[in-house]
Order: sequence, then structure tokens, then C-alpha cells
Amino acid sequence: MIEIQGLTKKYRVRGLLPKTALDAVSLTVRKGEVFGFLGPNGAGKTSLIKILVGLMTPDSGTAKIMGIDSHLREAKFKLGYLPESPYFHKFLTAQEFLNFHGRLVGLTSDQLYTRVPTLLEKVGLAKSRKQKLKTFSKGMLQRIGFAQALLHDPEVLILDEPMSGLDPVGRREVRDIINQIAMTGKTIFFSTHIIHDVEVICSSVAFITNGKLKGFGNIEDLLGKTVSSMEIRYSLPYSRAPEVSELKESRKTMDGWVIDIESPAEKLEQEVNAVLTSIISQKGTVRSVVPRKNSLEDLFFAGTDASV
Amino acid sequence: MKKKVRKVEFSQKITIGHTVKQILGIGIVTFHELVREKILWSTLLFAFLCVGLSYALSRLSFVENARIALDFGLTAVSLIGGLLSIVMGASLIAKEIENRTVYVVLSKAVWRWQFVVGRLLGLFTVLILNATLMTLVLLLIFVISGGHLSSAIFKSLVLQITEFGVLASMACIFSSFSTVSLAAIFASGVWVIGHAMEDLRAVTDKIEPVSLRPILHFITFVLPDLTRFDVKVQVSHQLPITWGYTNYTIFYGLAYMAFAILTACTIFSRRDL
Repeated sequence: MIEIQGLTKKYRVRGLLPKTALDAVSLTVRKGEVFGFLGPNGAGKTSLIKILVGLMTPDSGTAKIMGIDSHLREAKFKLGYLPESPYFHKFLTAQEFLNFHGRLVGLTSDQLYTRVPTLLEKVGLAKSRKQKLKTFSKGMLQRIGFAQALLHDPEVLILDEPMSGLDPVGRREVRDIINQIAMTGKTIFFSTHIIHDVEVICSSVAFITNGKLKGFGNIEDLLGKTVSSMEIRYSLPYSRAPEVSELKESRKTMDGWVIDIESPAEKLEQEVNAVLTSIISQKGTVRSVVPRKNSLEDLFFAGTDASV
Repeated sequence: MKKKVRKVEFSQKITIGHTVKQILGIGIVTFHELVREKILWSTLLFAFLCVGLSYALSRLSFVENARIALDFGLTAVSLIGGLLSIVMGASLIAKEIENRTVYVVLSKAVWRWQFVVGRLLGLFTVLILNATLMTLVLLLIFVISGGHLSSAIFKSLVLQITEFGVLASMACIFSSFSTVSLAAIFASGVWVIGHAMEDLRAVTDKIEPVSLRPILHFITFVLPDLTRFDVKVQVSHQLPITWGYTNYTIFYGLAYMAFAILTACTIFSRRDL
């Protein structure tokens, strides 16, 4: 659906030494995936998106949308794009704005007549159709941005930081719209620097820092391959201290002891069993056994050494 | 009765009609955008004041009231139109980039040249309307002052509009690769040099040091000769302006615009946004 091969882009800012925005980035996004492109500010997310939508030319490498080179006009029929903090012609009303963009994507007057009200309804702006965009809140602008991206019913949707600068209500609205669109089977590629957004919405993720891709894949697979941990809370009779070697790393708490067991997934069960046996052998009481999965945040920091 | 649901099919074919519609769409939005610009209305108001002042000045004179009004009025139209062409032409592309409104437009199946041509189309429409409106007010005052309408005035209007087109297209070249303010400065330079072209040509082969001569030759070759469009003296002194001269000058202007638009499209098409 989206194939990126060895994409490299360098900038020269005001005559200074060239800065590498993208360094041989390769990744694939499959049909129907909601793909999160995660990285700190300035990592190269927007540069990659601009190449995907044909606003920028790479120094080397290729980017294809459904098998068509992204710089070709034909590829743009396949994609809808919502830029970061969308800037639109604010003197237009919501309806005029969608009519204008509808003409750009080749809709006929008849199609516009049915499509525009449907989309305004879908993004919850039907009542504001005659309102000028300059009076819209940031959340409303984001929603009308979604409507323009969906006008020609594209198969791929590319969203650049769609939740950036929104309040919690706006974030929730945008998240709901993305989930709604995802249910229609469209491929969604969206960039963000907020890990939680990816955890909540995406099925796959890629990490980028300083223009270099640090890994990508299905979120469950990525988390499954990493070390998991287990937290066991227990108490011992007569306030005794743990004596056996398996319990040596325990910490004292208000009401007993707690031990964290970190191990590769295949050895974890065995180690947990050994600890539980030791507790019982010391006549202790197991209070809780809580599995702790690695989060995307752990993965991100482990892979990037960057702060988000 | 079962409701028939019709799935909307969206065309993904690129036809000439589609291409033209896209250009017109961009042109219409540009027109709407530009007529909302404060500078348009403030300069138009200033132009009306100047034209009105020309009437007042003509009253001060005992003779040739109409000629004074026409002379002063045509100068006002030329200056105001030229200023608008430069300011609006300079912001035509650069402002869209600075405001980032260009991103959503160019993410659609729109060629960059369509964007440039559409934007210029909107600007030309505004400039033509503006020049026509100013000229109509001027003619009203001219007739009230006792003047008689002639084809020379019409030819002057057409030549003036052609000059605005050339200036706007040149400003658009600068707008395609620099900022609004820089583009305006470059375009103003073209305006000044273009109106001093005859003097510049006269000194080109005489200027010292000699090393400057090729540079001046290049400037006089590349930049438009805007003195060709200036027929104010002929109009106010009722000197003949032949159709041959008018047509040739219009052709010169159109050729120049074509060159400028082509250059702007080429530069903009290669630019990273």
C-alpha cells in the first residue's frame, strides 16, 4: 500500500552545512493498517510525509502509494492528506472550502451536491457549513481538514500530527474520527510525537529519530519480542527477612516484600514458579502476582535514546 | 419499497476539462481572496481621490481643463495599478507558502503550473477590474470637464492593463522562490528599470568602466521595456496612437507574460515546499 525504499533527504539551512532529515528510510505499510509514525520533534516525520504527498523531492530512494511513485499526479488520486496544524483559506465557509477542494479532486457538481453534506455530517460540522473557517476552533479546523482529505474517498489517508495542539475534547474527537475511518478499511498513516496516541489507535508503528528509522512493525509483535516482567508482592511470618537466594532482590514495603522479575518471555514462567516456591518454603503468603508488559514508551526509549 | 443505494464513483482520470476546472477553481478562490485585501480598496480609494483631485486641479486652470484632468488621472491609474500589480504579484505564491495554505491544494492531483496559472488568472481579473473601474471614473470626470472620448483613451487603457499583467507576472517569478517582501523589492526594481529603459539603453554603450556594459546589455535584454506601454503623453496631447503600435505592444506584453509565467512555473515546480 505504502512502500518506502532508501529514502534520503538533506537540507541546507541558510548556507550552513547540510542537515540530514531522512537517512535511507525504508518501510512498508500494509493495506488497512493504522500506522503510527512516532518520533520526537525534528526527527524527520514531516519531511517523510511531504515526500509521500509530493510536496518535496527526495535526494535518493523511492516512495510509492499503491505501487505508483508518490511524485506522480496519479498517486495523489489515491491519497488524502491532512497537514500539521492545518492552514486553510479562512475567508471561505466550510461548504465553499469543500466545494473548492472537491473541484480540485475532480468531483462533478452532482457529486459535490451529495458528497459535501455527507462529509460535513460525518465530521460533525453540518450546522457550521455556512460559517467562515476563520471563526472555527482548532478542533473544528482539524475536522474540516479530515473532510477535505476524504472528499474523493481515497484509499490511503496521510495525517501529519493530527492531534497536535488540541485540548482533550478535540483529541478525543479526532481519535474517534480516525477510528471511524479505520473501520472502513482505509489505510491510515499518521505521524505523532505522542506515544499514547499510537497505543490507542495504531496497529503498527515505526520509530524515527534524527532521520533514521529505529524499527517498525506490528505493535503486538514488537511488544511480544521484548522482555516482560512480573511483580510479586508477599509477606513473611514474624517480619522475617527473605533468606533464600531467589528472594534476595526483594524490597521492603509497608506491609511486606515486593520482588520484580525481569526475564525473556520464555524463561519468565519458570522464574516466577521458582520465586513462588521459595516464598511458600519460607512459610510466606503471596499477596499478588502482577504481570507487567513493556509499553511502547519502553520500546521507544530503548530503541532511540531520545526524549519525547 | 427497498431503497436503492447508489455508490458514488469518483473519476481518477486526468482530462483536459478536469485540468481547466482545477485552474478555474484556483483562479476563483484567488479572486475572492484578493478582493478582500485591504490594500486593494485603500489604493482604489486613493486612486479615486487622485482622479477627483485632477478634476479640482483642472478647475484651477483657465484652459485645457479636460487635458489636465486626463493627464493627472492617467498618471494616477498607472501608479496605483503598478503598485497593486507588484504588491499582489509578490504575495501570489510566497504568501501561500508562508501561510501554508498551499499544502492541501498541492497534495491533490494538481500540477504546480496549474497552481501558478490559476493564481495569476485570479490576479489578472482583479487588476483588469481595478483598472477598468479607475478608468471609468477618470472618463466621467474627463467628460464633465469638457473632454471628448477617443479611441486613444481605450488603447491607453488596454496598454496599461497589459503593463500591469507584465509587472504581475514578473513579480510572480520572484514570488515563486523568495519571500513576499523580497519579491516586492525585486519587482519594484523591475518597474523602475522598465520605465527607465530608454535612458538605460542610451547610456549602455557609453558607461564607464567598460566592464559594466555587458551587465547593462543583459539587463536591457532580459527586463521588459515598460516605456512602450506608456502612452499618456500621446493621449493627453491627442497625438495619434496607431493600431499597429498598439497591437505590437500588446503582443510584446503577452510574449513577456508567457515568458514570465513559464519561468515562474518552472522554478515553482522544482521547489521543495
